[in-house]
Amino acid sequence: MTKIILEAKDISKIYPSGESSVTALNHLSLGFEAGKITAIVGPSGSGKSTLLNLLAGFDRPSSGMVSHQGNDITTMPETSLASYRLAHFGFIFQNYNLVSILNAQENIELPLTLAGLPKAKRSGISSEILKRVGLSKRSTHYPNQLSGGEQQRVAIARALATNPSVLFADEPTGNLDTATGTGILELLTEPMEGSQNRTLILITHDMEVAARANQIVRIRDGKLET
Amino acid sequence: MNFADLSNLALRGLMRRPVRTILTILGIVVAVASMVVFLSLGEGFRKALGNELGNVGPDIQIGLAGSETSSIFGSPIPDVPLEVLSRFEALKSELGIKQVIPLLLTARGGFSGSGYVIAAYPFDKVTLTDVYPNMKLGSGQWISASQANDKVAVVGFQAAKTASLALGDELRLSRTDRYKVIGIVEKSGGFTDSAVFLPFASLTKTLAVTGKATLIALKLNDPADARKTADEINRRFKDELKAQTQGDVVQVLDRAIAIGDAFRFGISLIALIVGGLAVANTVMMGVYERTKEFGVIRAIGAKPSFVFQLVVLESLLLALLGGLGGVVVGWLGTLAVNFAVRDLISVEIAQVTFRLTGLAIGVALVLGLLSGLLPARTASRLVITEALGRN
Repeated sequence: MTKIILEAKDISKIYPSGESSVTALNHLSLGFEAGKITAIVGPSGSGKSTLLNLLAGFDRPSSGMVSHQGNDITTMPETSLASYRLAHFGFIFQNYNLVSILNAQENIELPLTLAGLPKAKRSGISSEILKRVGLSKRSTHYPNQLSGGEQQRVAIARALATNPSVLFADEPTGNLDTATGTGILELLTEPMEGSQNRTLILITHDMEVAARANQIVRIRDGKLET
Repeated sequence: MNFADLSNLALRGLMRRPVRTILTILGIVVAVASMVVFLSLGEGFRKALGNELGNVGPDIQIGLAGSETSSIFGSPIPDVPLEVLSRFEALKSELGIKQVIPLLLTARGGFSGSGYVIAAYPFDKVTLTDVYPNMKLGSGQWISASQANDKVAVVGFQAAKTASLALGDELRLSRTDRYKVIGIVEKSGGFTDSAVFLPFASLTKTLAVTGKATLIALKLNDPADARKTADEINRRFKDELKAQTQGDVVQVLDRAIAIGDAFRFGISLIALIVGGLAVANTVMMGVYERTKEFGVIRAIGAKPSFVFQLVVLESLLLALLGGLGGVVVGWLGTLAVNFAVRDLISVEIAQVTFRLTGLAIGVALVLGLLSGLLPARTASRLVITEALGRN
């Protein structure tokens, strides 16, 4: 029996635009199974990123609700929601979004530092993950000293550091060449193997990337495509 | 996140733009240093006053009521009639008065550096060591009782230097009045260094103020009764005379110094406000430049309060470094001030005390806190999706 870990129920997102408004998502309902990879695909402006923002708790829907493991995250106060994201979600962005003043290891340790883990424990976890993403020798390098592929590996390592139950990836290979992108995808899908718990939600334009998913969700004009 | 990690992150945030950070710190250094130098003058005067009053003999000083007697130097023009002396002589036993001493005070010179204070005592009744117990003679002799009507002078260490007087020289107060220097006082680091002491009777003639004194000083049998006796004198001579104890004088001078402090603080406040705006500008620029980064940190799971604390801490670190630098530069400034005026007065007029250091650091931190509040509020209220979309 499949277990829904993250669920969007009848969510809409309407942005004001001058005197009118733009409907980015229109009464969309969707469930994500635990331990599965879901690819959200659709043309530009279809509402993919808006959906990810709402699912991840970066933004709140105009109506409807998002629940994670039965907890309604749309009504959580901002402070609680931040702690919830830290504990349960991991994020990988198209532009890597590493903190420029921190080196690779420190970037990986950032969520652990926010969680208040002591230095020794943080170092242990980050060293282990750096080894897994093949960047042990680049641990003291700063983002501007790393290639795009290496930066994305660090970003993946940072997302995995807190062992989240849901991993969100927004066009993770969008800025990478094919060979590097393939390597990143393998790395990204690797933690799923043998794991029944971690869910990967992937936004992509690339159907080759989407093909790796267990489930593909197509969005157009803010609605699910049937 | 613990404080050490937060501080480390704040420090790195500042070092992202080292030149801008250093320039901002320099702005605060200048602001705090100017405050330290300005306020160190008050501290120096206060300290000198404390040292000085320990040496002042009279327990009570009396001037005319309504006259400008609120100053330790009394009225600028001698206006206390000497008849008052006999009235207090008569009250000696009743009020526990040991000695009644008329005193003439006047000043010579101005801001040229050659100025000194002239204090005249009736040396047939009192000696200088009665009035200033710690005073020591460097060379020559004291004015004796037999010289109470002579034109002789004992000169303070600094006064001798500034007026270029040596033993045997003549101090010329008018075309016809010349006082022979018979003694030079050892350096004490206080008011007496810049004073010239003359016989009361002689100076009375020179100033043509016969029958008048600047102040009447009383020495009591028990100095502890000063307050009570002064109150009694003020009660009895309510509309005529005003008696002040050393404590009153301290209060008046302390109030004058405090007013001076407030004035100088007001001036330095301008520099502090400019420094504060520099901090606010630097921190706000940092927030705008790092909007996306703050968005990422918030997305990962940082609470708005974490971002607020981080930005405020950056602002406080800037202020603290600027404050510490300002105290050091200010201290160097006070050394320069004291060096510059060492030939004018022997008192170290500028002093950096623990109190002033604490005030300077405290003001810098308050400045940093206030300057950081708006940028911190802006940073903590960033909308994650908008911040992440920022290039």
